[in-house]
Amino acid sequence: MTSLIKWGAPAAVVAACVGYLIFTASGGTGEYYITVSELRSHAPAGDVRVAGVIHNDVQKSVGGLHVTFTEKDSTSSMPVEYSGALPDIFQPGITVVAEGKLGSDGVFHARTLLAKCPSRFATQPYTQ
Amino acid sequence: MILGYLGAGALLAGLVLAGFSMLLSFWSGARESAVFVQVGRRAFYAAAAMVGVAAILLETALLTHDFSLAYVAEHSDLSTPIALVAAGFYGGQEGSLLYWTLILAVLGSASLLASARLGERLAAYAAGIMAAILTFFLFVLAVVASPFELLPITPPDGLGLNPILRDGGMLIHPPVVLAGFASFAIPFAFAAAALLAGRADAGWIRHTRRFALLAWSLQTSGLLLGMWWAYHVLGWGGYWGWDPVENVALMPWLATTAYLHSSQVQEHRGRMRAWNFGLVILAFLLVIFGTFIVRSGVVPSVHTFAISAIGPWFLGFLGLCLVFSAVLLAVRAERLNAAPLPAAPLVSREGAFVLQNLLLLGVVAVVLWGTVLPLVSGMFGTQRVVGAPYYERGAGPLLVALLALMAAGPLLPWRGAGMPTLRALRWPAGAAVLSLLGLAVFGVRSVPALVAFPLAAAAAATAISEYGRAVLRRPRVILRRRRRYGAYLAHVGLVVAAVGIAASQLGQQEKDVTLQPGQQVTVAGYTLTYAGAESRDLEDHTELVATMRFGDQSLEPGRATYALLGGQGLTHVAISTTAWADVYVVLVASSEDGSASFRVLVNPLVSWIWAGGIVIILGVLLGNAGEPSPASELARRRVPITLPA
Amino acid sequence: MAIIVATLLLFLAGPFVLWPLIRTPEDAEIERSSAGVARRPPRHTGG
Repeated sequence: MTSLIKWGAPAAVVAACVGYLIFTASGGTGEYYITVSELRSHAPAGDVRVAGVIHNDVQKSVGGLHVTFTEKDSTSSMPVEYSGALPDIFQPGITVVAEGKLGSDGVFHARTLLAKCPSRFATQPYTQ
Repeated sequence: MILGYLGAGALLAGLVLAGFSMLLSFWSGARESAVFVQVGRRAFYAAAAMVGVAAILLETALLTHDFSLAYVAEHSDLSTPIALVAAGFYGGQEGSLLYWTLILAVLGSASLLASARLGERLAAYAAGIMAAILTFFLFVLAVVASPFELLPITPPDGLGLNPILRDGGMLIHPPVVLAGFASFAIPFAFAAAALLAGRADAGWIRHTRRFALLAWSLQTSGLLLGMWWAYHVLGWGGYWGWDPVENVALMPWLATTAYLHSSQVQEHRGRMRAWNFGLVILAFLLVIFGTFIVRSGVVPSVHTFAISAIGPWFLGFLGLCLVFSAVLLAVRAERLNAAPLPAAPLVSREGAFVLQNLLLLGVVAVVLWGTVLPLVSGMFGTQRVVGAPYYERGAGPLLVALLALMAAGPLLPWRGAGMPTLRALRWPAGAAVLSLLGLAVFGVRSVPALVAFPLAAAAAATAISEYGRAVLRRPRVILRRRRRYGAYLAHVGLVVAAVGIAASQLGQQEKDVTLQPGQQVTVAGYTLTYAGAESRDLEDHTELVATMRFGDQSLEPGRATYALLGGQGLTHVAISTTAWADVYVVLVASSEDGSASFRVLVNPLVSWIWAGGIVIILGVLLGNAGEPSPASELARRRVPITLPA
Repeated sequence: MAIIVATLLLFLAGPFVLWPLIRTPEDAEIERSSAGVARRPPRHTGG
């Protein structure tokens, strides 16, 4: 048994396992990352992540644990509803990524809300 | 203003010196001209001094509130506490690059000083490679993203630090992680120099390993600090989000973990050289790749990074390093193949290290794919992203397999397993069976738990049994073989941390609830009573603080509002930590009717993560403090490790 | 302006960097003895 087969076979087995894991893991759990306009024009099946800016019509209820707002990008907007704790910097004007599904009622039901962390590295040009 | 000019000048001088060092070092190394090798080295030290000067100037500008510098105005203001002003040095794009370059220059100088006697040509090539990396960073700093940019008019006050960064974690976590990233360049330079020169002796290899260990330790600390900061400050109840920023810090760490282990095969049996060179080079390439990914904005991340000008430069540098490394490995490949000792059977310590390498590389592949998927998929259609479930399902089984390897590997002899091995394996096997029974008795039914915890117990049992064996027969060997027993201690620490991670992932419970004063909430058997809330006025913000009674403790989760920053809010989490679980309370909001909304989480065994992390670092320190001199090391080993000249 | 500063700094760094080239053999002797290399003590001849 040559050295190549002796060491190559286990390596191939491990590589195959890793490939299999990657394939199965990403197949079921991958989501589309799209903008509001894209969601409006053709919504993909399953969960998606939608990035947009929060409009200034935020309404909270249930002691702050439920919120509805409009998320928009340059051309379209959509209503979002979410239950749970909000990210700290959640306020109109910030970019937020909503993860969830567009319901038949036209409202996006978000499972998770991710707000972009305040930029550590963004060079905001200093304005007067 | 003058600080700006001085700083820009220092960076420019440093750039010239680094470029000069690079050219001269390569030339003099090829010629083996001792005098010019020394000149090249001195140019590197001088470049490092220039970086030091620039760093001092930037810190001075920050501490004196010199708002004529754009960087100072953008990352501090007059009301920021002085410690955080100082930390602004590494808080922004340009400053963090300068900090990185400073670490690179200082560590590089130290490594050159320590290696000056180990071989003229090798030392020269290593200097040349490190100077090349330094030249690139100084170029970016001097030309593309300068921390010393001046504003046309000096403003009276700065923009200040974002509230989420106004925390002790900000002081510690970034500099450690950045130092970790920077330090991977050193072992890369030494390994590439050895390949370039076609020679590497034992002293050189130990030198490389020592600096790889330093980089690994820094990165371990940085990762742990980051997890601690995310958990205690960011308030979402977790410590790891598989965000690109986290992933790019993890991948070089995984590659270096593999290297630190498989380098032992090179030391003991003179084999796996190609693996080791490849792993060290891979770690550095992953660092540069990671820097490109997170500073260019090409993949979505919760950490905002401006699509800045430095992205393309890092991509170009990555391409350069890739080509250089690939050519080097290809051309020198045949020199790496001569093995003084024949291969061991598969079931041996050598085999275990090969399997370890494969598994760790597998984890790197899983994480890498998840990180670049948005970029790749975006190029061919709609952008796709993956979340935590992908990483858990993809990497989880591999990590569990690694746990099993940690249980069996240390007990396998070099030349192949036999009866004594089977007898030694009874300890981990017994520990696994006992814990499996224990879990079953407690009603645990989750398959991941039933697999992970017994294997963790087995891995711990192996390490402890090795200590036990040593204590019973020859306690002195623990001191003499410090590296090995320090590593066993680190293994124990890793197992403890792994158990903490598994428990807090698998056993987390949470509840969202709105309470009136006096009402209670119970999560996972822990009961909290809401006592009331009050508003407090502080220096730069107002804070709404709720009081939750938990047993005889008072937890005070709060929400801070920074009026000066447009009413931006910040959560202050309240955590009650015991050895068994953390009770984690977030104040979501309060209403005029006196009620308040909370998210309450119970995270089991989180403190084990931090404790385990400390034990890992302890094991590494104890195992490697005061290394024996190269001469005595060489005498101990009977195996020649020199590459053919 | 930055270029002027850089040039000044390079002039300052110059001697340090180029020292191995510009030192005389005597300087090299002094360096070697201070590094602790064992040497035979100079012989004292009579007178």
